[in-house]
Amino acid sequence: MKAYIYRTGTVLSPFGDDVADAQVLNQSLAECQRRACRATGLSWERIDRPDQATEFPCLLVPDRLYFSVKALTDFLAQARKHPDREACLALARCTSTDYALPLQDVRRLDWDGADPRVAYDLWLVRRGPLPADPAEVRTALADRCQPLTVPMREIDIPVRLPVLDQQARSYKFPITSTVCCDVSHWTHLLWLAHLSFGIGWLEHLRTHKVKSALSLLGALARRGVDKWKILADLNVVGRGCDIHPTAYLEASILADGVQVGAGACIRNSIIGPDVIVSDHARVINSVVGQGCQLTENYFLLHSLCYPGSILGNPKTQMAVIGRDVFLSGWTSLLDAKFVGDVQVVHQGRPASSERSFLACCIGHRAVLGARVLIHAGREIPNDLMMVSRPEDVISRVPADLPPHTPVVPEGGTLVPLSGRRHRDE
Amino acid sequence: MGDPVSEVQVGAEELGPAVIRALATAGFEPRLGRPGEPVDDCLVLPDRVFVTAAMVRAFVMACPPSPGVYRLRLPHGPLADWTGPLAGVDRSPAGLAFDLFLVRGPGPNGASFADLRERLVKWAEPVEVAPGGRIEPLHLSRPGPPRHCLDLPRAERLIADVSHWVHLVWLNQLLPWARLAEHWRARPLVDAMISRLARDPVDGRVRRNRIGQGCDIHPTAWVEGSVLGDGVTLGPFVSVRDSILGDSVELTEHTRVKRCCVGKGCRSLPDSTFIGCTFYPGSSLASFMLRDSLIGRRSFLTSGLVMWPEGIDQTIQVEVDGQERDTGRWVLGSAAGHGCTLGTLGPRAVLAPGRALPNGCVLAMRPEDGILKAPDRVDAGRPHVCAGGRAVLVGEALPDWRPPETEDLQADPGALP
Repeated sequence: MKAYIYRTGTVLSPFGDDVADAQVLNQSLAECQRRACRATGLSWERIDRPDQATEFPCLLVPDRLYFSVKALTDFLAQARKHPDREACLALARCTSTDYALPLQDVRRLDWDGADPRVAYDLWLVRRGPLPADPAEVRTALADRCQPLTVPMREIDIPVRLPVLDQQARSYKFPITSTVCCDVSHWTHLLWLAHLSFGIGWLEHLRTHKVKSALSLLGALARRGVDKWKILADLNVVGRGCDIHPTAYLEASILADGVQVGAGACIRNSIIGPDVIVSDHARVINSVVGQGCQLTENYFLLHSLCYPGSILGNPKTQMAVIGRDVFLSGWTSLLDAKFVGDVQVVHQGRPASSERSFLACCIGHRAVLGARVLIHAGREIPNDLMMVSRPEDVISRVPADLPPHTPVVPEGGTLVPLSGRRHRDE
Repeated sequence: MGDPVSEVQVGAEELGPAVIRALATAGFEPRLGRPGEPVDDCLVLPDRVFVTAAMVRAFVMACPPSPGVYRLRLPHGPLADWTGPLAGVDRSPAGLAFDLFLVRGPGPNGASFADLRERLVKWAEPVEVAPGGRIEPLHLSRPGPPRHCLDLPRAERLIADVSHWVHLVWLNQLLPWARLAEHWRARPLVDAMISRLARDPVDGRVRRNRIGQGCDIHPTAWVEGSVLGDGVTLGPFVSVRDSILGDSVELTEHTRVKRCCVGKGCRSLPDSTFIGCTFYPGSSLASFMLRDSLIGRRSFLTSGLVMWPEGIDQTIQVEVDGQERDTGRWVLGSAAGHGCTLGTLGPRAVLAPGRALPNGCVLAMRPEDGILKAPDRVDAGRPHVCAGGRAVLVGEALPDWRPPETEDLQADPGALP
């Protein structure tokens, strides 16, 4: 069978990239789709219009739909039980479907009923004709293709959130490899990056069953049943990696040529080739693209980094960082909203992200050199260069500053505090 | 700082004694010259030139045995690039000529040192000495692509002309490795044994630490490639790499020190990070991140001060004799003199790269930048802003302002970014 991936013309803001180039699991979304097709034995073809599909039966998928290998495998297995039926992929509502659901253009079936499901635009079509306009595919096929619910398993890990409005809050973090997502906003990339931990690990375990079992047995033999010690032993480390003995790795996947400095910590993350994690940098639950450089003491948490960035601000949390970005030591990305949810711009209009904790998205090649704060949910456009305002930078130090007398910044230089007060008075 | 150059801090000691020790190790009897005195059969150098014993030995070996005046020339390369900018050396396509002369046979004399130097330079034949050692790439925090690197020379043969505070910073970043190499060169048997026992290069660097007497090191602390003086105290999770700590230095928990020279009796406050810095003795030090900077004697550095070390779109300039001169470096912090108290400058203010604060400088924040007076009454749940040194309700201080932390974009699409 053949999978046809049709263009939707979706462009992700603020990057301006075609959605097929979006970064998922350290590769492009198009590559993720091709990989899933290859793994399930499907040939694939990228087409400009849905009606260019010529071989039937076939899979018809928009270029902006992410589907994991496991989701596609299980969908095809279900479809084989109904050889004459046309179908679309559906997942029963659960923690992982809800995790990335906000802003997705998907159908919510029986949402308030007993069997709530999310139906995605992954269609198994057995005959033509198909519409030429991608926007009409759903209208044309929704009645013909009944939702086929894919069985799924997930582990939910409760995570506590900071107290807001005097209420202790928490959410569930899902670990599963059965994931679909309609990628139409940068927040979807972020949430897919969060889910990448489960997807990456479970796919790795499935494709390296013997090796993984031996690793686990080895870890058990060496470390006993202490879960932390076992997790510290369960890492995938690529060729040519240089890892300092004081660095700590836990449940992470490192590609080839990664350098990890002294005291660095990488947990539950996926690190691309040739990344430099400098001394005492920490990377937790994040996906870091090829060739990124995380400078000393940098803290990256729950974030996605496109390739080639040099990052050095004190802490980046819940953010998407574009390609070849430079983040200097004192840029702060705010990631919390005190009242209501963080709002983002989606299709030109404000929309709720349904999250209280979410940072921003920084466009490709942006250089943030100033000591600035970027508010939650904002998009920084490509190629923006932010520098400090002159009054914020002490660039002239007078040679005749009086010793042991407090001086304060003013107009880019230092002036005695006492004289300034007098003048103000 | 106003100190004589022979008293500047090199490693955990002063430059004068450090050079005298190097010359003595290389087989010379150091002596302070007098104007008008002839310089026959001797090594001549001004007090501002720092040199290691290995470099002196290599220079003397490279000089021809015939009578004459010979001048050390460092070929262009990582060491020349590292310590050369702004240095008082003679530059040529072949390299940097330092004021280190070897006089074989009768030499000139001069009415003054300047006169003597002029004659020595005139008579001298350059002798090239390569620093040897190896190169370690330092990845810079600088916008890419491509990724930017600086070559850090790891050599035992060092020479530097110390005529600006930046030279102290740069020289002290190279010294820990050179000092350890000198130490273990004098103990070849133990060094060979360590090489056999070491599991990997990092383990080898850990085994080659020099730890002074009476040090108190927490079991979770990590020391690698470093020289610790007597009575050093390292707290939990402290990391010391490629550094020299003077006697009685105390680093409290979670302090990270890399390529630094910390003077006697300095104390760090918890969770501080210093990279490539030089600290004179007796200071109290705290910083979230301080890079490539110099802090004078008995100073207090607080975490709130940001010494910005990055040149975003141009290399960093420093003041030399009242004029801005380019260092050619993209990463360089600042310097503070002796007896400074360096508090926070305010919520956004930073010290630009390459600045020098004079002795006794006391940095403070403008009163209106912080909350000096707590509000008498608080409206719970209503947002406040800092205005005129007080916490004031947003509606009173800024009637038209919608704070993004509480804004509702759907209710007010005009506020869209």
